[in-house]
Amino acid sequence: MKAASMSVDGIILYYYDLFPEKIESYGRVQRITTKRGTFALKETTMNKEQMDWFLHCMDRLNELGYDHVVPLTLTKYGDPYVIAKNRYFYVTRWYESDSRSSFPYEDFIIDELGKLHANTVKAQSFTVDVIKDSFNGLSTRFEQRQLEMERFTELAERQTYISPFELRYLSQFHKMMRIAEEAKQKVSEWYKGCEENERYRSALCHGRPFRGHVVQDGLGEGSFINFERAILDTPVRDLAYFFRTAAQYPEWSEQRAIEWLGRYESHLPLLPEEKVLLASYLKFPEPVFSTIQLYQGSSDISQLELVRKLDRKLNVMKSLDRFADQFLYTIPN
Amino acid sequence: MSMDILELIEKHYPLKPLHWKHKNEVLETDAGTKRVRIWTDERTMTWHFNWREQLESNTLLTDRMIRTLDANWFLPFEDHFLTLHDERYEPFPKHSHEQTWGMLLGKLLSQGIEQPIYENEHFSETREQMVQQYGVDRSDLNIPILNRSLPEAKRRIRTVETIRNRYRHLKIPSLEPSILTHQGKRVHGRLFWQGGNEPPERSMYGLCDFLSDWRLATDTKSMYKLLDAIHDHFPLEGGYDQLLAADLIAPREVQRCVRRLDSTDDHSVSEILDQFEREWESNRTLVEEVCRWIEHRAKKVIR
Repeated sequence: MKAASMSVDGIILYYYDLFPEKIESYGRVQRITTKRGTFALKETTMNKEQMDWFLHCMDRLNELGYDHVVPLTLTKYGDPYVIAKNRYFYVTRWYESDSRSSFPYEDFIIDELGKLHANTVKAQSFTVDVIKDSFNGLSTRFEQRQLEMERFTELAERQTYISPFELRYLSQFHKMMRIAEEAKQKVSEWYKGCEENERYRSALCHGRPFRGHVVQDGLGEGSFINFERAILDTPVRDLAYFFRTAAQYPEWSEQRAIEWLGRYESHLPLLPEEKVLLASYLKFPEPVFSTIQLYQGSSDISQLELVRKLDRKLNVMKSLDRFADQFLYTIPN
Repeated sequence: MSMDILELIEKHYPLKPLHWKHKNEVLETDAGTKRVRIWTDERTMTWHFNWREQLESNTLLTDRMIRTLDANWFLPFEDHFLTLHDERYEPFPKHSHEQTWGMLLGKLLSQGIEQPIYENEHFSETREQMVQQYGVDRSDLNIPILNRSLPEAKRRIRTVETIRNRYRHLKIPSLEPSILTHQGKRVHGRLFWQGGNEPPERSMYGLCDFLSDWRLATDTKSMYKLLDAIHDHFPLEGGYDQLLAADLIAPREVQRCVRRLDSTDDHSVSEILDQFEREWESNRTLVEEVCRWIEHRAKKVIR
């Protein structure tokens, strides 16, 4: 991300005794260079409850001795954050993050997710109602998205002149629907599996494990940043996010994805029904759905660019579908 | 001693001391100017820590205790305790900022009631004790100006006693014995309050000093605005206004004069007496003005 110079509310810096020589803006993060070191100031959108949970998660990671996370720098009065203009701000040391560098991001993320989940995984006391709620929520989400994709198809087909984007989309529509149906079927299988085995596990999930949330220290050691979306949920949540984003980088291949899953399972073997749930997440053409939303909402992006985007998402969808089929094949009957 | 303190700070705090600005009191560091406070009494130190922590808000800053590398807010130091604070110099403006100052004082008073330090929450001095405390029994000094003032001072003590008896049920706030306007600094547009390190007193004397100081620096109108603003955060009506008046009436200028006379040589006696007359007159005006404000508010309530 390109840096822009900017100013920061002085009251925030006062709490950290930071006298900036230079401030650069990277979205919600300001890089603050001072004589006492370089710091990252993050403006969050969290409310009080979310902030408390975030701090609880950071404390928990500290208690577990999990050290691949960038710790918060406390204010001079020992507070973990500062409130200014009704927003929460926190500070960490600044570490470099360049998603194009040669750092093996995916290897690092999958290993660390494995360790993090293995350290925090907990078998939840099984209640049908909880599983049923999750099942209903996921099924409804898939169905609503499928419906919107069908609506988009109908609208496109009614056009006298179909746009290149719509044409490309329509040519793949039936394949997408078939994959979406498979995803829904896998959600049902997962539900049955949980019901039969009467088990359900949750772990502390990072929430958004991808390259942008990994930084390196001076020795090239990686660490996670941004546990703001951390949540106690099925470990599959992080895995689905990880594989979906990893599939968009050139290092991706189905073979490497299988290796990554193996690496993860060396720390925390997945239960058969968890693998089924992961397959349902990966199969559902979510990335294509978001591209349709982009097409419908944006007038700034050229048709050519949108078609390219759609093509990339379709390739990701097909690759994730094949990857899911491969690891599903390994589940014993 | 000073070298030890600098070494101690460098070892335990996340900052680098550079040099003393005022030896053993104020130092320059790579994190700005800091003040060192040495505490002999842990209870007093804790009281000062608590009000600083509780008073701080988005709009009001205090010179809270800076944390050590181990996240402690004090350091053991030669049988005593050491704390480190920010030191600021730019004064916070008074005119047109009465609301902000009033909020500070109102909150100090509210917290002064909540914060326990003494078992006795109410005034318990007898008239005899007050007479002795204020030096009103010191006719032995044989100074005509002072002696002429003592009967009036005794009358004032009787009034103080009457008011205190009337509002015996009210909890008396614990405040620092001295609160002055120069303690309010400006930091990023906000009021930054630099407290002291004296043991708290259960009285409203601190507020009396502040009002006197405020009136000298501004004018009566501004003082009325300030009292209104204090009242917004700490209701003065219902007794505290009367207790404030009582503490203003208490003959502290006599007390100060007697102390100065006791601790000086003959050369400066006339200066002390001049000062006594000035303080007597100034306090008389302040009492009148504050009483006028109290009456005005009381009329407002009746209407």
